[in-house]
Amino acid sequence: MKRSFEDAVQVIQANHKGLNSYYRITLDNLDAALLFLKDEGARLSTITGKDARDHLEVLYHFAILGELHTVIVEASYEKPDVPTITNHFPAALLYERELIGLLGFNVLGIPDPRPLELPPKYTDPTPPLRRV
Amino acid sequence: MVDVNERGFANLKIPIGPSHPALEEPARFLFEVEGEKVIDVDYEIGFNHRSIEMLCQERPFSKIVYLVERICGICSHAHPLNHVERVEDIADIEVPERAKYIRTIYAELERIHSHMLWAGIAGEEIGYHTLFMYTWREREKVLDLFEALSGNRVMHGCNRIGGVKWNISEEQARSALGALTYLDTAADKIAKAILKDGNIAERCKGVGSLSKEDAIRLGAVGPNARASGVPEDTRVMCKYAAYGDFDLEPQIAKDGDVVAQVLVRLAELKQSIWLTKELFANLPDGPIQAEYDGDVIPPGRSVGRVEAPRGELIHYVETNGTNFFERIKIRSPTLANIPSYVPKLIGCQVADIPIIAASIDPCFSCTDRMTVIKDGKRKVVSGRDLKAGRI
Repeated sequence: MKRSFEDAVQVIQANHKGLNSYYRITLDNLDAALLFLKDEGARLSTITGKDARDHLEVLYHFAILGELHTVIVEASYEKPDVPTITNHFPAALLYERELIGLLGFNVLGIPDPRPLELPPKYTDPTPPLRRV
Repeated sequence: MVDVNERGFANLKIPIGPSHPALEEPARFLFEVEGEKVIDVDYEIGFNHRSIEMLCQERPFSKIVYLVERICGICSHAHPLNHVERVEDIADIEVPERAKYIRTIYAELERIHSHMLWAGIAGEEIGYHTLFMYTWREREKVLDLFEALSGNRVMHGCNRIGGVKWNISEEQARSALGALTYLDTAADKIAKAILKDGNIAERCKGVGSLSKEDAIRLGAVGPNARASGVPEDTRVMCKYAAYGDFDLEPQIAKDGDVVAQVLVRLAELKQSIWLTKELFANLPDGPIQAEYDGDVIPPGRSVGRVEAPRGELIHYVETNGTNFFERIKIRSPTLANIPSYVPKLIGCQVADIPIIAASIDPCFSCTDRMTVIKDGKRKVVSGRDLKAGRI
């Protein structure tokens, strides 16, 4: 990943006996990074959304056999937009619906934007996993 | 006047669930049918969402092992095992070998009783109640074994950060080996009762098929993916706990139908019984708890997988140097397997829906809003209530 994307990727951590790697990447490079991982045979394991107290983060966890590669992108509270990755990884749909419901992300281009867990009449303006 | 489509069939939609005799789980399926044939399906989950992730972030980390154990009554070992492994990874705690073996014993016993439970439910879904009664009787042996080892049949309280709580005495190991020999014979009898029965083959062959390409594309995991020929087993790939000491092969089939799901789980049942015997026979001596200062976990993050009975279970843990977690994310195998329902169910007969729905061994206590009934009045818990811990 680092070799292919050079400065666009920041390796922030590698642990669990070297099997888990974490990369921070800008939203502009996300599409290219996903294509790279897809070519490497990666399978989307899950997506974690996170309120990092001053901004929002999305962590895409990809499995390649015994390795887990986590790609982290940031979004602001004011503009919580991230693109859908269902065009590359259809399995992302449920996890992206979770991002919409629990953290208030705006997933651009998602084929089914219904919140996953919350009731249809949920009226609280603050998504449950937001810290503010 | 009945609304008719261009092919002359009435436009009918059949809702099943949440909580339906054909699927005793809180998921709702909406089937569009032409006669007896399913032509489209939509699903809805979240009817039992319990906000475990938020609760994990609002309690001191010392209470979280107890909490994650209560996510699911079947995977009551897989969840805390993954959680403590994540914390140990962040805090760089080396777990004693004996503790790793004991964790693996519990994990495999969990798989044995879960696969037996599934075989019984699958039998019940196709009207084979004798199989249901028979497998659940034999499954009691595993629960008795759990009780002998931990004092509890369902919630074992085995995992602690840095080790395990319950040691295994020589007498317990000897008694467990006897019980496992009995279970080995019982597994053979269950396999014979299922595989030699022409009615089951007729009823399940070619029903609910999932191609290998669809399994990979839709992110299926566990026995559901392996039944379609995807050779991925987290125990083999990640070698967590004591799995690195044993030569395991992923149990796969190729057809992806209900029969393939049966074949994979029966093979895994035998494999798990063999592995548990090996674990008891080769249990290393030594301590069961690493020395660890239980006050604070350093800042860090760890994501990891374990093979729960239903497949790949992921926990992501992030710490911030305090005694509260910054973020905990849990992805249960059933959530990953739900999208695979669509290709399995489209084109099937309405009468096949229950067995197809049961074939992936769905578990929604892991996957999923909570409703509180008080004084006969129903109330859906709001986000504000959850944040305030009013549940």
